[in-house]
Amino acid sequence: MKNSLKVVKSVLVMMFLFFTFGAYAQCDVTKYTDKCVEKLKPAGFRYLKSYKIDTQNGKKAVVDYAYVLSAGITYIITLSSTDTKGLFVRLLDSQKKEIVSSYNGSQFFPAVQIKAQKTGIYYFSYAFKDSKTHCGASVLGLKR
Amino acid sequence: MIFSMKKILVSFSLVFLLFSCKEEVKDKPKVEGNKVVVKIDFKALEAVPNPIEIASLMKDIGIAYDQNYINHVDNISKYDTDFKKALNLGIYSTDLGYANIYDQSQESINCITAIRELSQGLKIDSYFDFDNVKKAIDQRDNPQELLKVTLTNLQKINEGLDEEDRGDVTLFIITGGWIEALHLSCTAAKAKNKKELLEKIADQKIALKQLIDILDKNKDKNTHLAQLRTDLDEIVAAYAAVNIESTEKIKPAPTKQVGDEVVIDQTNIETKISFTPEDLNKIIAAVDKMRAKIIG
Repeated sequence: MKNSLKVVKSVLVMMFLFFTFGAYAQCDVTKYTDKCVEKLKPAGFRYLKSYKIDTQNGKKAVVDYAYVLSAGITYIITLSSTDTKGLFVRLLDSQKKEIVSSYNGSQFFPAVQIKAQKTGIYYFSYAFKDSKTHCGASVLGLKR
Repeated sequence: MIFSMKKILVSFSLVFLLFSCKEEVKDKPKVEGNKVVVKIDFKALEAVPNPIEIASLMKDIGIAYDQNYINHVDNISKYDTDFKKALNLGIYSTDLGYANIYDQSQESINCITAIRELSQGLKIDSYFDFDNVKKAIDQRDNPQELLKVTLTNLQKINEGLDEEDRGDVTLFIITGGWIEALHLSCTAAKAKNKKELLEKIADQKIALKQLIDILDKNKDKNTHLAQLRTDLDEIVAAYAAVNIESTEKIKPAPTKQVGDEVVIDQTNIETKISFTPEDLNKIIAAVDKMRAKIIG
């Protein structure tokens, strides 16, 4: 009886911790989005769209989005998360072939610019590398 | 012993309930009646170009703001079905972006009034923070903030509808917004012959294809989706002769590091657009007809 009570107590404590900290582990991207937006103005970009990067505590390896980019327009993809390093984006063309990445194997860049010459669907594939963070944001901006 | 176990279980239940409640989305609208849920590939919908791109281009190439281009706020009373409300919510959203880009505060407020009323009718007003948008309008010195707040709120409406499995409504809003952006650019092109604007109109063939693909996959889900797909047929026909061809050289696009950014210039791609004045006239006629049907 004593042992079974101990087991019940342990289970309850574990569940309590899970629900307590699980709730705090939610990915609130407001401040990251704001940081991304801050990077637009100095370079003359206008805000276009924001993306939530939530790998759900690492359950997802990548977070994918798509957008039709237009020829003749310069776009910027800015990134922000708790770590200045770790979050990166791979920009893929309509054939899902990588065009550029914000991580070059040794360095993480907080923004990618593309001067689009082909209108079409492009894919933004976000991931974290060697990072304990699983939550971040990205903003797409444009200028002529 | 039994008493203490009971106490533990009661405490646990209370904690569980507390955090279960926290997970609920505050003020999440409820869908009334026995409406059929419509799940649509939200990621594909999100890829449709934001109408703000056209308004942004219009301003950048020196086209003046014209309040006659946008839908009048008094028309709201005509929109008595969810289908019409959603399409016109898209129309007013684009008009709001257009007015924002040109710093037209009063027009922006009118559009917000229309969006508020229509979103209340569609029971999605809790996703749009109207006070926050009005506050941003008052801070006229920061147009970037206004644009961000407006577009973020419109994005939240679509995300909320996706969570509620009301993808059809999202599709109506996005189509309405796209039609209005095309109407703005066509109307401006009639008044001022600008190469960049004509290219942008031709370019919309890609966005149109994106919309058509989504509608074709979902048109059997309800009569309004089927109707919308049929209504777009004339615009599809008007674009038939428009040809956009991109040639990619074998050499990859050069990338360089500028400050802390990676910059890629697709100089390895050459795009040729075949777009005649006759094509433009056909598109203008088809867009005018469809828009008149939506806002009328």
